[in-house]
Amino acid sequence: MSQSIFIQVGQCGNQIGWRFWDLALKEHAQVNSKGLYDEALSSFFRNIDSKTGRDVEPIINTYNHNNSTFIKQHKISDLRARGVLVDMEENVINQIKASPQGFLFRNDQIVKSNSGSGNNWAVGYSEYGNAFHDELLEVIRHQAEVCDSLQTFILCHSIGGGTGSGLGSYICSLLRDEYPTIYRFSTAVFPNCKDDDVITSPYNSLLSLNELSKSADCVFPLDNKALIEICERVSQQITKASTTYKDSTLKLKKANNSSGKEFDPLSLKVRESSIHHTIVDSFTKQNIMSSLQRNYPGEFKVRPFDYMNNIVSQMLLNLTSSMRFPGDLNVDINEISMNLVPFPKLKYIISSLSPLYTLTNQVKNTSLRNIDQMFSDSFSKENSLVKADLKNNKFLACALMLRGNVEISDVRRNIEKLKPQLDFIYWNQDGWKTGICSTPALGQPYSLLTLSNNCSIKETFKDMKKNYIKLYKRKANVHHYTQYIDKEYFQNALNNVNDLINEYTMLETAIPPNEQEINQWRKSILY
Amino acid sequence: MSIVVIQIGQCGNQIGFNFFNTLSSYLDKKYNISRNTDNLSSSNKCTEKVEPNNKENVTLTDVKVHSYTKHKEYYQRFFNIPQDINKKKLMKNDLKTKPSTEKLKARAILIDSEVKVIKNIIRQTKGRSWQYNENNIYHEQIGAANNWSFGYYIHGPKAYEAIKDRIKVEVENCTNFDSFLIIQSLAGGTGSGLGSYFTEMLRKDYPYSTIVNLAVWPYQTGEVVVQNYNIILSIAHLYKYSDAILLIFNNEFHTICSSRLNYKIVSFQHINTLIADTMVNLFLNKKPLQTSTPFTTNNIPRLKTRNLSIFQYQHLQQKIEQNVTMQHLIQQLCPLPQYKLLSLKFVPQTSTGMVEQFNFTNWNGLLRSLSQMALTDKSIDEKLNWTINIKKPYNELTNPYQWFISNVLILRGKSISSPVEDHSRPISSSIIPLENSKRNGNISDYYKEDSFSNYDVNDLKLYKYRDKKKDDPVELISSQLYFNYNYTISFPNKFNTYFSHDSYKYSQSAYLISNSTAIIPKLEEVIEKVSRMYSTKAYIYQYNKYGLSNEHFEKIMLNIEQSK
Repeated sequence: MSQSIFIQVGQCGNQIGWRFWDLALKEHAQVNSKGLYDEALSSFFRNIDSKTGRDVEPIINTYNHNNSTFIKQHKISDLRARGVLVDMEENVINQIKASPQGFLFRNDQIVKSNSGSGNNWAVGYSEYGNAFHDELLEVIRHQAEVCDSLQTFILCHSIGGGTGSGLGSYICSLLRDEYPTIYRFSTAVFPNCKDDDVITSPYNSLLSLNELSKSADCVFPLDNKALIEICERVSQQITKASTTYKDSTLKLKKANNSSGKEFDPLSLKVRESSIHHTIVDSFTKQNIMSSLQRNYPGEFKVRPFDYMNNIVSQMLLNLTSSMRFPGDLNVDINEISMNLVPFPKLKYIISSLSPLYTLTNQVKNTSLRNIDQMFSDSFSKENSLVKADLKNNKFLACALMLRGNVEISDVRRNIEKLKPQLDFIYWNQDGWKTGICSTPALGQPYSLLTLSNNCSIKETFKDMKKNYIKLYKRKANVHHYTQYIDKEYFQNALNNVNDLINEYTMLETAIPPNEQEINQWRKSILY
Repeated sequence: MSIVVIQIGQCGNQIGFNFFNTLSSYLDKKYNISRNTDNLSSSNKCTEKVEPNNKENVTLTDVKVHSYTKHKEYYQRFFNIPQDINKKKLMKNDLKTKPSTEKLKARAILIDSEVKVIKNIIRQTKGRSWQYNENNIYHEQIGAANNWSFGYYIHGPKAYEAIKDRIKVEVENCTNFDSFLIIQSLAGGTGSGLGSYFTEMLRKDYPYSTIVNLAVWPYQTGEVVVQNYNIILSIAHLYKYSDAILLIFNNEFHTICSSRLNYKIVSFQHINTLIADTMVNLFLNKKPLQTSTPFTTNNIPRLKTRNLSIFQYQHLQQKIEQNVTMQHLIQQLCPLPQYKLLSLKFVPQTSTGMVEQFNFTNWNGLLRSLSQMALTDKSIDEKLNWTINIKKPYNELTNPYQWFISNVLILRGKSISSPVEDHSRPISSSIIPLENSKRNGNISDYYKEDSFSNYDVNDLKLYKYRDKKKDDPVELISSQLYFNYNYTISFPNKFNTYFSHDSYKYSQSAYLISNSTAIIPKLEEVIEKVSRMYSTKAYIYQYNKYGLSNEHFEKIMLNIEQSK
């Protein structure tokens, strides 16, 4: 079984990571009622023997042994996350450490400082990158050493702020140099282009986009705005919650207007108090539903960032589910980049989830949708985690990652149905990839994660570029950056995004060659 | 007679597991049936003596083993199916002292690049009457990423190096080694890439053995984005090294499952079971034929053997008279080294429950639809285009149907003795004289004209389907009629029929493996897509990453074009 290392950078990354680990544990607890350390669990977690302090091997054959000593041996004793926490402020990491999930992390997994990056990409990339170079390497190496077959680094960060964008992209290029064969997936939270709070975020995002273009294998862009809208919609469905939610959105708006940092500690404190369950608890509970209900009391609805982070975590869990759990059509994580990235540069993959839910109190309230609805929903504007209009733009490739009680005939039927509605590029008319994982997601009988490499992502790039140029033509704030980095970075970043836009536009407008040309070309190759 | 099964990739392993499963349950059932008959003939001891004697001639195993092994094992050996009791064999001498409690071991090698599927399969074998040999399992930690290149260049050598010895052991354990059966898919990375590598290496290490690839052709859309690349690459490689590639189309089996077998929701389990059933029927079949020859006194089998042996002696250097081995089958199916893509058609396609309730099948109907299915290249025996007929005189343009290079028909049914008794005469009387006349008439011409060494598809003198219907109205009722009229083509041994008395699932069923041009449209479609994709160089960098060069790719495309 292959392993992944989850690297969370910056405030946003750490907060998403926090939810991610929580949900990942719950998801495994749902399947693994005995609390054994099995192979599925081993892909994200380490189990450490309390006496020797060494890693315990996961069980390979659960069925052979039923005697108690065996179970005792492989009982989860001391679970650790295969994760690395990086932040230049102590705040969030300290809160994570103090939270019920804190036991997953030890100090040797944490790289932190206490001064912050001041929303400056250059500080994160150049200054902290260089300063923490050795420490980062050491921490990552330590995690990599305890994996018997490391496959993926999942990087989770925002690209609007300073730490996440700067240090995140630095880590990504570091990984490329140190672990060239390991896949690097980046979950990047894109800043909100319309009404952004951080003045320098256009700089930050383009600079890190440039870096990611070079060093990541796959980038999953996430849009804060889209996430907020999803949360709103879901909460509207949950009629009970709607009134309380309005307050929270107001709060969020307010927070967005001020700087993002001030807002969060407040919400975190509330969250902290509400999550009062322990991991042992959730593992011993056979019925995950009841434990979920119990563990998330009513007041949980109040915190919008948790909703959003839950969605992101759910996306990541669905993405990796087929790697961890068995299914009829397994999809290893490296197949994703293989199937979805036709050209090394075009690796921005839009993800959309369906059915949408925020994993809090959906169990009772939302009615079950039928499977067909789920498929068509996932291609609608509302469901994608980036502002993107999938249906009206060209697809390069598309993957359907199904979980739960879904059979191949459902997939076949829906692909046939969707095919005429979607516009695939001429050379990849059948660019579908299917994965079926039999373990359902938390609290859902079936769910679908659609990953699409779609030209509509260029709209996001265009917006980013527009904002960037707005600032850059006056050279506003540039001097803050040039203290640390060369001016060329700016030009390179601009060139890069231009290239991306061009390439996507070219594909968008590409005209299939006619028969004659194809035949000619074929002949030229063959004879 | 033994076959070593190598299951590669997720698909291969799942199908392989289902195959062994149905096989064993079928044999167990069979054993029970036979025991009942034994009981009827009173004392067990007597029958135990009698039975080995009957089969002694037949199987190549010694009587000693039979006399003290249990029925079950005995049956396994009797059938000598691709399932062997390796451990048993080693313990042959010990068996006297301790009655073996061990399970049957499938003679299979399991290879996958990730552990989940294999683990699952192993778990499922618990409580069954058979199991896999745990030493024969090999898996990597990291999947092949749907990348043929990754599977072929990275995993391939590693995996082969690791499992080589086990293959050798399995082969040496066989009393009479027949062939390798490699089960793989063409879409993914493991099945296609590793499968190609294994075929290549097996050919290198066992140059004279028969290698048959059972390749699962993916759905037209939907499974893997880069499936067309993978198909092309693996077909090209298999073509070079394999003896025969039996293609199984997911699409067809899916439609059969959904429209004929009335599964509301078709899962992979259904499809795999169907494939496994079909495989059991295909591969089991030859044995009963072989066994039926020596011991029977009635003339049916004799006719059959004569029928076969004439072909064999005349045109093949086949020395084993009665044994219908995989090798033999392949020799008949692929008379020309350039053509080895086989496709499969079968009837009936109804759910088992229905068949048991209404035994409405008869050979005439079955074979009628089967022949038409083959003619129109339809996988379902529903809504067949009966309007398509053979037009005389034959013209390439007006007859867009299939050309058959060779066909093998396998009939299975309990009541087969009656139809075959009726129809075996027509077979022998129709085919052989026909062949004789041909042979006498212009056999030399054939060899010259077709000139096995160099010829082109267009030059190939494939006879059109002969309409024997009009010639011989008596044969209208005869089941063989349909096939006679369809497939009397140039090559002397192109149509062979096997039959067996025991049937699995259906009381009567017919299977037709054909080596025909039916595959071309599908291949053409894939090539079309590949060339379109390749012209933009999409995804190619992923393949290059693991050592596949563009030139190689282009060469492969050229090969495929030629093989059409």
